[in-house]
Amino acid sequence: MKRFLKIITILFVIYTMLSMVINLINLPNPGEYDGDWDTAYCDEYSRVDTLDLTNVQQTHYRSWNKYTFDSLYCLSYQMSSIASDHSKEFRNKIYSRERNYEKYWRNIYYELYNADRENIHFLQDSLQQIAFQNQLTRNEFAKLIVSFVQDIPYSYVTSGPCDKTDHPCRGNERFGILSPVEFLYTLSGDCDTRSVLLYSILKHFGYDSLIMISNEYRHAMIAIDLPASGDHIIHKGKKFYFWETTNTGWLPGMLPPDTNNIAYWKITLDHEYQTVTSSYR
Amino acid sequence: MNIKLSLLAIVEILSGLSIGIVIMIITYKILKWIGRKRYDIHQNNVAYSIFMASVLFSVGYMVSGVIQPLLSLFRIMAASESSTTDLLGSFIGYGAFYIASSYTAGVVVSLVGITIYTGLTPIDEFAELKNDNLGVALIVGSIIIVLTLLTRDGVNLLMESQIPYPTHFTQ
Repeated sequence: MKRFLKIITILFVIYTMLSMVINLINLPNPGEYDGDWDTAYCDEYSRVDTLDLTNVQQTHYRSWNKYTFDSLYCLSYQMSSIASDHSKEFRNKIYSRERNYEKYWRNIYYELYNADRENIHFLQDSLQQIAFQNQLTRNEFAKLIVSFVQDIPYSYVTSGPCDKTDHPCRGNERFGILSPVEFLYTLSGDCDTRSVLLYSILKHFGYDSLIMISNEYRHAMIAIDLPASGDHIIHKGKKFYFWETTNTGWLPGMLPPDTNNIAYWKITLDHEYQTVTSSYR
Repeated sequence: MNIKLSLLAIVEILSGLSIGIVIMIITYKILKWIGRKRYDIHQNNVAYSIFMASVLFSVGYMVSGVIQPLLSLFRIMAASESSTTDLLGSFIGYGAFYIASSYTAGVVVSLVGITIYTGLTPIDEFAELKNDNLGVALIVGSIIIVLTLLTRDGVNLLMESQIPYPTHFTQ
């Protein structure tokens, strides 16, 4: 009986300590969440304005959940079809001489990043404004950026025709990828399309991030040097945590169980990569 | 200081500590009880202590693989559960299930190790352990540890497959 009471006391102490620790973490407070207000204020839709025969302007109104699901972030931006077409034209002229899988894709990703990094300032400014308004920390700001991209519905992008999938798909796109500008214009993107956009935004804000690809898993995602825990690789003495980008809810350091063999993941583009080794000029 | 990360680390430490203590005590008591009741093995038996140490390591190593998935589960739940009680309840419920599963896997691996070795050799291993045969103890212990090292990733994947991760898409 005495031993039983002892065990109960120990379990109770552990439970109390865990409760206290969890209470200190900012859990969402349902009382603070006024969904109707937020949703009304933050509608999610796209408006198409035809400016002339060759120029269509898209205004995207985006709203997405904070990681704590207690409120929404929202922003809107405008993009013209001319910018998207110009970016597509550039993408169609890129080539890579590399035969090595990672290097081949590194060249393409870098070209896409390099060509569009000056053309996505409007989005970077909007995200930064949200960060200022909400007084986000560096970690929270990274989550804001990644969750913005995660929230955009997934679409396949293939270099061939879209005949194998019942999911939204964009077919016959060179390299099976869209550039950051095209992605923001169309809001259609697969794993590497998302990764290149995120790499561009995160690099702009001084985050050390990598684009990781896996030939075995036919997948791509980013890895980022942030204080976190979980699945990571060590690169140049820093810990980079994997971050899945194709759906909401994924946090840094969480590799999906069916793609969690780290040996199958390779660094394609790292945060310090500068030199263009082969490209369209 | 990153407060949230520190708190997450504290949750990890507390979870690890409580899981470790409970698992080790239970395993130790069971092994001691089996040795005393079934094989009449008492104190000062080095061979049986080596055997017990390998089983303890095996079970502990197997269960340690659950900590990271449990932490992922906690992070996923912390983002969606609305109250501390709900979160703690779900965390403890899922945690108990995962720990029990990996604990069972650890015990099963140890049993398989012993059974294989017993089947392959003409000697009675437990009689040898009772006689303080260190050679037999080291070999049985090694078999148990190697089997644990080989099966741990599979058991972890099985545990991770039970965690309600969000969906994701690949090409």
